[in-house]
Amino acid sequence: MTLMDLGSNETLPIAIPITTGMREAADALAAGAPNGAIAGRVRENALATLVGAAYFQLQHYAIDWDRAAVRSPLRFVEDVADVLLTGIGAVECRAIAPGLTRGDSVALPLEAMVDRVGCLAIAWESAAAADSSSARLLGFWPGFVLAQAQGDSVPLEGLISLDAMVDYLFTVETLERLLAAEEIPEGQRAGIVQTFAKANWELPENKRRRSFQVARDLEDREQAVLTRETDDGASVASRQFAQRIFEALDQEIAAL
Amino acid sequence: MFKDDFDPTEDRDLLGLPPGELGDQSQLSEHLSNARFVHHSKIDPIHGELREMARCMGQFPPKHRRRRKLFDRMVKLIQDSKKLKAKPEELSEEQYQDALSRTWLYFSRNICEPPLTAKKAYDPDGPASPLTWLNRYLEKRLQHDWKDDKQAKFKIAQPFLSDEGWSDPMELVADAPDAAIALERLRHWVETDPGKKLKAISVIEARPEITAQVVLRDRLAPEWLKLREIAERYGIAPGTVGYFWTTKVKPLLLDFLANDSELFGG
Repeated sequence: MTLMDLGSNETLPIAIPITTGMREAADALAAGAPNGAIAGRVRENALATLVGAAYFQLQHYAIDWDRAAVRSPLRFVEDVADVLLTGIGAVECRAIAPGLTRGDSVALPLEAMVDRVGCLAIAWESAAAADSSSARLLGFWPGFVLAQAQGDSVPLEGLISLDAMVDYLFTVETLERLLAAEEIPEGQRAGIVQTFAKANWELPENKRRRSFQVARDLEDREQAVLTRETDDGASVASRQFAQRIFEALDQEIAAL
Repeated sequence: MFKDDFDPTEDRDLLGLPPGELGDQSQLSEHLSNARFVHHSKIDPIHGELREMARCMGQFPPKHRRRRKLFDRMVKLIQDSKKLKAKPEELSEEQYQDALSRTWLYFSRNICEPPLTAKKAYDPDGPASPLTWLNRYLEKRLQHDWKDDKQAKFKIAQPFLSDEGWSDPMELVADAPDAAIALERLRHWVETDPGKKLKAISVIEARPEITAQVVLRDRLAPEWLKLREIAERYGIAPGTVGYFWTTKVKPLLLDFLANDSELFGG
């Protein structure tokens, strides 16, 4: 079974109940859509957003509903389902089509792949959202995976566990705070955060374990940041700056 | 701050409840069944495991990453065990899921000190395991939430619980601008492009005719094109169209919506 494939070896991923309140809110948000197809899309996106929000709420993440895409009139124009985590950024919550297996890839909406901290992949318990009483949390694509895809499909194999997602979001939150302290303007921070987060994440050791309990090579990470910045043609982050950020990040991690 | 109206932390584990305090027959049989387990020292190891995890969680504040990981593991362990109280026959699946949702929130807010919605947090050294404690709460929700219309508020008061109290998901809708009206205003703005901003920017320099206005017309058309379909239609790389939409077009849309006086009564 697909869900079993995408969970751990023996168990299913965490299930989040879909409540009456979620359904009513999703229906209300879909009301007034220009046609049935758009209404269906908005309803499903709203439900995915609310399921993701319910999980993040259980985990004591603060959610910024004032700027939530699901409430904006643009929900009829765009195909997005993001939850805005205060101090971290936007996490897309995307339902994965039934029947996919681990070797498959998913074509996410292009507007859901830019400026995202990452994407929480969920699966409806039944074939359709409307018939589902709960949703399973399959895993998480870090934001740099979405950015690297450059509009192509993202592989289900690239999903990291919720356990690893907690580490990743912690890294992003810490980097956001460190870069704000460096007086990097808010509008520029997201891209730099992802560059640093990617460099921190993709060390050979991390590729194997995806956890904080591994040794880090500061030099490698700095080089990754510098290389990335140069390749992108953006301003080259100074070695001192990268070193300062990574050292502060390590201190924050070690303190916890 | 909202305080939960049920507080099973004061209840003893079903193992310890005297028969007089037990409710229906199913509870009685559960009690007897558990009592047999006690007699034969065959208590399911999940109780001890969860108790240890709860004790460990209590060493960290609610937003600590280690606590979050432990929380995930506890939820998974409980769900995998299939030992949560099952849906009673008389309730619908929707009613059961509503009660379950509030139960997980209760778990999240009160498993460790300080309790956020209950009078007392779960006590890992107390008589009940986290599973028993959780089942006790779920059982009460199932018994009371659907008893009469007064309790119907609970069906909407989910799942948003902040430190300030419960919020209704419908509040997300209530104070949002009327999307259908906004869409019409948006269509008019795209067609007239009064500031000439939409015609001024194009997806790529090599294709100056594929402007923001062109892309928006495709998205506002009755058939509503995905960005991927728009990319294919004009032969532009999907990633480029996605980036153009997010960094160039969307800010203009948000700016229009924020400043449209007819939408916001300014």
